[in-house]
Amino acid sequence: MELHVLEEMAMRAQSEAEERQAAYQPPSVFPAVTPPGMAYVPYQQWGDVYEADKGFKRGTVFPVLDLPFAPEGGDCAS
Amino acid sequence: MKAKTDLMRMIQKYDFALYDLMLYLDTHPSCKEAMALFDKYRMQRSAAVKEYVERFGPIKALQSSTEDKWNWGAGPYPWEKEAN
Repeated sequence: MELHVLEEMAMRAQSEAEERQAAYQPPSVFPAVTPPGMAYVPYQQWGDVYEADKGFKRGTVFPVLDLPFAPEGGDCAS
Repeated sequence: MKAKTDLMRMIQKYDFALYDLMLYLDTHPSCKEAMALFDKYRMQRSAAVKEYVERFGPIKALQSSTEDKWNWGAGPYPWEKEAN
């Protein structure tokens, strides 16, 4: 088989693999280089913050971390 | 003039917000926004503590007066209702 044919086949296989990888890759907050199969916690970014008053009640000043298990309640008395 | 309990509650709220921001800053030491907010709360907290101590006495032994009487023990103990 001609060398250039082999090269073309290799390149096509490579681009197909990348497409599959791209299609498979869900949009995520994880960095590009994230090894599959390993646990990973997305890094917190700065964003909105609650006022001290509300943060005291919600147990955090970061809305992104305000994830109560019980839907509501558990709010400490003002 | 804020009532005693309102002032104490305010201090507790600032303490909580400061602690939360401390945890964040431990892992994001160069975050400008977090540091700015931390500074703001730190100033507001020390003003509130200053007022509280002047009007109602020390919160911590560290703030106890040493002029005429060591008054740290005079106030309600931290676990008592009046102290919260």
